[in-house]
Amino acid sequence: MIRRALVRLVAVLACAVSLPAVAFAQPAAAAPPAPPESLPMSRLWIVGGGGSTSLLGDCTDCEERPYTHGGSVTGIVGRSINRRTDVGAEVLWMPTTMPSGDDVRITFLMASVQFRPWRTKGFFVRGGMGMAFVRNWLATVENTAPPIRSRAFGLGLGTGWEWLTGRHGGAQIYAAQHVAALGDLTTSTGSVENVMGNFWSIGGAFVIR
Amino acid sequence: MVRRLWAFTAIVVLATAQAMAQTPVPEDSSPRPAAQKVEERPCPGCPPRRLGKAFLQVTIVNGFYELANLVRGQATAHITPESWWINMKRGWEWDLDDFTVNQIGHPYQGNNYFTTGRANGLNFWESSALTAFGSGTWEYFGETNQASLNDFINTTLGGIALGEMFHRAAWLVRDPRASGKSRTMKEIGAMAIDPMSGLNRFLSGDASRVDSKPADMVPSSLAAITSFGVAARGSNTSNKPDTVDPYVEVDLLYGDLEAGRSRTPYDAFAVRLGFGGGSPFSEVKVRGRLLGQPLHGGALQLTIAQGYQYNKNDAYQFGAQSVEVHTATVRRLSSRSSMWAGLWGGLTILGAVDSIPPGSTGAPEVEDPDAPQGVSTGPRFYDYGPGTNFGGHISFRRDSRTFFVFGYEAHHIHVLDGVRANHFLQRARADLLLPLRGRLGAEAIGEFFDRRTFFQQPDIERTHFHFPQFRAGLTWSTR
Repeated sequence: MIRRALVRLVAVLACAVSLPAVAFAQPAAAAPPAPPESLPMSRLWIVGGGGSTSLLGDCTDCEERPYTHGGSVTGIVGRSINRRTDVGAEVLWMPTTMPSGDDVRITFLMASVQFRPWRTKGFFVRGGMGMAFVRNWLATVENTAPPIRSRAFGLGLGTGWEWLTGRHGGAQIYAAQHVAALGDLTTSTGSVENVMGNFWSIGGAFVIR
Repeated sequence: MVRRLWAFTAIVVLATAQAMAQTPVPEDSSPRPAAQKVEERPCPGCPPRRLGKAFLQVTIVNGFYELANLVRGQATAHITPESWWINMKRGWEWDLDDFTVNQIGHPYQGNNYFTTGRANGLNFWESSALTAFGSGTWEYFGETNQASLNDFINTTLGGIALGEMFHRAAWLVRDPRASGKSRTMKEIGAMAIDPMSGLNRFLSGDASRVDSKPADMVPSSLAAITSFGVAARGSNTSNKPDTVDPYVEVDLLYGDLEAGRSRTPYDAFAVRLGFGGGSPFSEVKVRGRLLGQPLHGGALQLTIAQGYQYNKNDAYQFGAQSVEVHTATVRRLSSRSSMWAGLWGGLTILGAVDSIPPGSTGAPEVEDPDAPQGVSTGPRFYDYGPGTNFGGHISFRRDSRTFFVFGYEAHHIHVLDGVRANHFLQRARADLLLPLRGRLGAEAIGEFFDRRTFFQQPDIERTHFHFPQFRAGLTWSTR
């Protein structure tokens, strides 16, 4: 519980830091995020933040499909390949409790591409593909529950708006959907087939370029 | 949950709407007369860059497919705002559609999104993002059934591979320097290959405007071989009888895959289309170069390529979207002979392999009589999952004419949806090509297909199926 509260706190703090920066640090709302042509563009691209995430676990024979909610932390490290496109490694981390009662941590590790169709506007779309890992890596005191160590095919799609408040720093708000195709998932109550986890997130993040 | 989804939707819609509502600023942001803006083209013969129009046309493409489904009486076409909302709430799943629909139909639809981007002046990567947009919006809003993860991947990645290939192939047919009836016929022929670019060219007047061909659309070299003949096939099981069938195969080599530094996606690609030989449509293979780099002073060539594959034969039915790394070398053996050899390996992002679920007879899928039209209820006799691939090839040439080719390819698929198993598919092929007269030649091909399935359930036995195939035919080479 403490850990989950901590994660939520981090997520809320990330939003709290990012969003006012977005709201107040930008005098003109439509100001372009791209640096002028004459300035040398930094190749570095770092995004860090957090948000609120809803998770829906689904499977072929599942009758109940309950949603769970929690905080998530996201981070991207990469580089800009041109003035519209950035590529990097993306991590999304979310702790949650499954309907079976198992506390798990879900980590997406993906190759991610962010693309701004209009170079002079902050609108971006983001997509990524990679792996998702589901773990209950904290053993219980009694050590009765079997370990959960599932790997999944991971996919992420998102969109948002980015503001550069300085030459190298800024913030973004985003809405994203991540999918983890797990195949079989063995929990403390048995094995579930063809499990698909859908994650919807809204949040904010700081950006360093 | 509802509030969160509303917030999620609001961010997506508002960000998109704000971006779309504003007039795009020209690349260099310098003020220009309005008339000049209209004609602004990134290169001679290229279409003007129209980002907003590209998004709009992709939505129209989705509307076209939706109407087509409606006319066909598909139950899944009865979309409403409520079905959109339900789809958004439920997220993604694996669908149960037919193999051909998912592995050929969806990539073809994705190709329409991609070429819409190219027709509106977007580059390869921008058109790729547009393809993902078209695919995602189709999955959520184009059908009443739940959004499908396999459809999204096949439509997007398959659409990119097929789209760029068709787009460049259509430019091989067009001749914008010509005029008159022959020009119009060529434009119509190109439109059959790349409908979205053709349509845009006719609507904008580019189809009749005399201009030069975009430099990017002129390959450094071009070769095609069409072959036809008969294929004889053996089998290691009594379920599959020995057969003799006619076949037609078309190979297209666009650009120089063997050498050169390249940062232009698909400036070189290879395509193989196979018809007959036991299946009406037996093979589609596209390998497009994304990046090419000579190493060690050109002694070795490194290539990163995107792959799209569809195979249907007696041993397996297979479809995949992949990314591969190729290394190859060209060696001169004598003043008239040379050799090209290479190895490759990569990741299969999503592969589909036919499978017979344990306990099933593998009989063809029987339609559920209670299911509405267009709704697949399963069972689905193929599996989905990511995996790996690897292979190699060696070919010998004399006087720039290939006379012997040997190739080997292997694909491993780890099933995530379907029968829990690992599929391992192999194929070896040796081609002997003999020139007869001019462009006419003869070929003899020996092939071996092998398929092994390792089930994760210990009580299910491993399956192994293989067959040899021999082909003999005539070839027609074009350079």
